[in-house]
Amino acid sequence: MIGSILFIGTLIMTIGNAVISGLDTGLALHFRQQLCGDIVVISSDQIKENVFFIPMGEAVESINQLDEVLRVVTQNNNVRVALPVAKGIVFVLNEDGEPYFQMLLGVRFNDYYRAFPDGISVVEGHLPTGNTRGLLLSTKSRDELLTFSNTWPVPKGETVVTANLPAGITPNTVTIKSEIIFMGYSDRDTSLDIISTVNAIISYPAFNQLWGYFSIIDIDSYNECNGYYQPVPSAKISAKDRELLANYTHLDDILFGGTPPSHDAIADIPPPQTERVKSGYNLILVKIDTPDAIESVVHEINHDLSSHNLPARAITWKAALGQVAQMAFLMRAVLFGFVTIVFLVAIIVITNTLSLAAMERVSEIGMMRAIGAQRRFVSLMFVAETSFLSIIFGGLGIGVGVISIGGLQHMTIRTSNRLVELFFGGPVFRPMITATDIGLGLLQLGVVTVVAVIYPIYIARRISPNDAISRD
Amino acid sequence: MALIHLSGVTKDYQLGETIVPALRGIDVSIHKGEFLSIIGPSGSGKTTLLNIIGCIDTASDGTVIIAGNNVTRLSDSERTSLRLYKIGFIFQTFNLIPVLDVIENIEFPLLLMNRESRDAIRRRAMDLAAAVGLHSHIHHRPAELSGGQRQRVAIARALVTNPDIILADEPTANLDSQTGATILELMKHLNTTEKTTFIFSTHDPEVLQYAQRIIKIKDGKVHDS
Repeated sequence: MIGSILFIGTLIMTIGNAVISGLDTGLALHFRQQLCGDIVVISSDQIKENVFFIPMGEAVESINQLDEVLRVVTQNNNVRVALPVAKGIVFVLNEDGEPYFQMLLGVRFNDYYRAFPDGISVVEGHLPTGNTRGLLLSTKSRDELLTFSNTWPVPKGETVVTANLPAGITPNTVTIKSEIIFMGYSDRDTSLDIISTVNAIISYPAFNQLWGYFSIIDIDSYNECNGYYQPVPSAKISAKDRELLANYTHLDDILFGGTPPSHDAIADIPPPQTERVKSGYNLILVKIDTPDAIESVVHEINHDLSSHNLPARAITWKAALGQVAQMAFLMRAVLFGFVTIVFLVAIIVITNTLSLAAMERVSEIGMMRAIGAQRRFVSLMFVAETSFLSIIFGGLGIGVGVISIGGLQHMTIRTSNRLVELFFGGPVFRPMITATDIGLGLLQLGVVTVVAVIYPIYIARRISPNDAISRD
Repeated sequence: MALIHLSGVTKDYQLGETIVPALRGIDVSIHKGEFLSIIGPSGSGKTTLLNIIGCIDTASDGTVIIAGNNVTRLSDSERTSLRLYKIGFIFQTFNLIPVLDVIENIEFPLLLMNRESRDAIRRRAMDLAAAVGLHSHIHHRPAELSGGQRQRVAIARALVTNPDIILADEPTANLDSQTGATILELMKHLNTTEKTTFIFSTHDPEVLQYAQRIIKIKDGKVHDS
C-alpha cells in the first residue's frame, strides 16, 4: 500500500516537475529567443508595460533619442543583441470599406534575421534582405484576410500553392494579390496609404496562433504609412508638383465652382515642410548573455538610461507580454499547485497508512519495548522501514517517470490551440527532465518520507510494554 | 541487600469512573539467586506484581527497588535499560516478534545491547536454541511453530542476556510435561550456576516442586511467604 502510494506519487510528481520544466524552458526558448528577447526597452512616456498585446489597439509611445538610447543599452556588457522595432496597427479595407486591423512589426530585415535567426519560417516566397521594402505576411494574417476580404495574398512572382489553401477554397474562388494597401493608424494625424508588396508568407515556429497576429514590414514603409517622416532638407518640388499641390490645397474651389489659383498664387505656395518627428521605433528588443540575470540587467540598463537622462526604460519580457505571460505563469502555477496537491495527498495517505500500521503493531512494538528497546529504537525502526520503501518505490516512481518523459518527448504531441500552446510552452508538448528535476523529485520524496513518518512515530513511541501484554 | 525490594506497593487501575485496586500494599524482598514462585487465584494480582517487578508497569504508590535502583524515580529510558540489562521475560502468551524467525527473536535483546559481534551473538543464540530443543527450527517464524515451541523460543530469548532476574508468567503452561521439565531443569541450572534469580507465577504443582520459596497472593495482598 505505502509502496504503491510512493510509486504513484513520485511518478506524478516527476512528470509534473518535467511538465513545469518543459513549460519554463519552452517559454524561454520560444518567447525570449525567437520572438521578443529577454528585455524590452520602451519610451519613458509609455505607461502600460504590456506593449505587445496592448488592448484596444492603443499606440505604443515612440522612443525619442533612439540612437543615444541604443548606444547606452548596447554598452551594457550583458547585452548581446538590441533590435529596434516599430510595433503598431494599420488598416486594410475590404470592398465594402470595412476595416481590418493588421498588427505590424517594422524592422530592418537583416537586423531582424540576425536577432531572431530561428524566429520565422518561410512558407512561400523568399525573405527580402538589406534595405529592401517588403512585407512578410504571417499565415495567420493571410487566413484573416481571406475571411475578411476573400483575398489570398501570395508573394510577388509566385503562384498559388494550392496545398496551403484552406479546405473548400480554390484559386478561382478567391482574389489572388501580391500587394496589400495599408492605411496608417497611429497617434499622429499624418498617416498615409501605402502599397506593400508581399515578399514572403511566414509562420512563427512557436506561438504562431498568438504571434501570428504580427506581420513584419520594412521600417521605411512602416514609418511612411504611419506618418513618421524624416526631414529631407534638400528636397525640391517641381513646378508641376507645386501646381498639383496648389490644386489640392484649393480642391474645394475647383470642385464647387471656384476659380483655380493664379500662377502668382502658385509661386507663393511654400514647399511642404517635412518635420522632424519621433521615430516610428517604439521598442528595442534586447537579448542578453545571462538570461538568469534579467532583473539585474534591467536594473543596470535603467540606471544607465537614467544617468544619461534618456527618455526610455527597460522592462522584462514577461512585463512586455502582459497578460500572455501572466496566463503562461498562471498555468505554471496551476501545474505547480497540482504537483503540490499530489505531494500533500501522498503525505496524508502515507501518514494514515503508517499510523494504522503502528496501531496494528502494538503487540510487536510493545514486546520490543518490554525486552528493552528504547523509544529511539522504535523511531529509527519506523524511519528505516519508511526510508527503505521510499528508496525502492519512490526511486522506481522517479525512474518510470523519467522513462515516461522520454516517451512523451518522442510522441511529438502538437497543438495549434493558443492556450494549450502556452501550457506546452510552445507548439509541441516537450516535458523536460533535468538533473535539477530529479534532484527536486528526490527532495520531494525525502520531505514526503520525513513528514509522513512524524505522526506514526509519535503513535509508535507512545506504545508501552504494558499495551502489548494487556492486549494478550 | 535484597536484589528486589517492594515496600507498600499498591497498584490501582481506573476502569471508567471506577478505581480497581490490583495490589494493596505489597511488602516483599527477594534475594539474588532465589528460585521463587508466586501463586494465587486468577485476578489475585500475580501478573501485576510481576509487571511491576519487571519495570513494565509502575506502582501507584510505594517503593520498588530493583538491583539497587529505585524504579519509581527512574525515567522511561532508564527503566527500559534496566529491563534490557537486568531482567528477562517469559510471558504466558509467548509474545514473540512475528516478523522475525526463531534465531532472530532469540538474538534480539543482544542486538539491542550492541556489545558483542554479530558472530558472537549468533553463536550465543544458537546455543540457546539448541538448549531449548529448537536447533532444527531456527529459521521458522513464530506462526510456523506450535505453542510449546513458541514458549521455548521465549525462554531462550529471556536467557540469552544472562540477566540477574528472570520473570516468568506461567512459563510451562503451554509446554508438554517432558519439555516443561527440561526447561525447568535448564532454569534451575542457570539459577545454580549463574545465580540468576527466577520469579515465576504458576499453577503447575510440578513447577512448584522446583521453587525454593513460594509467595501466595490473594486480593492484592501477600498472604503467605
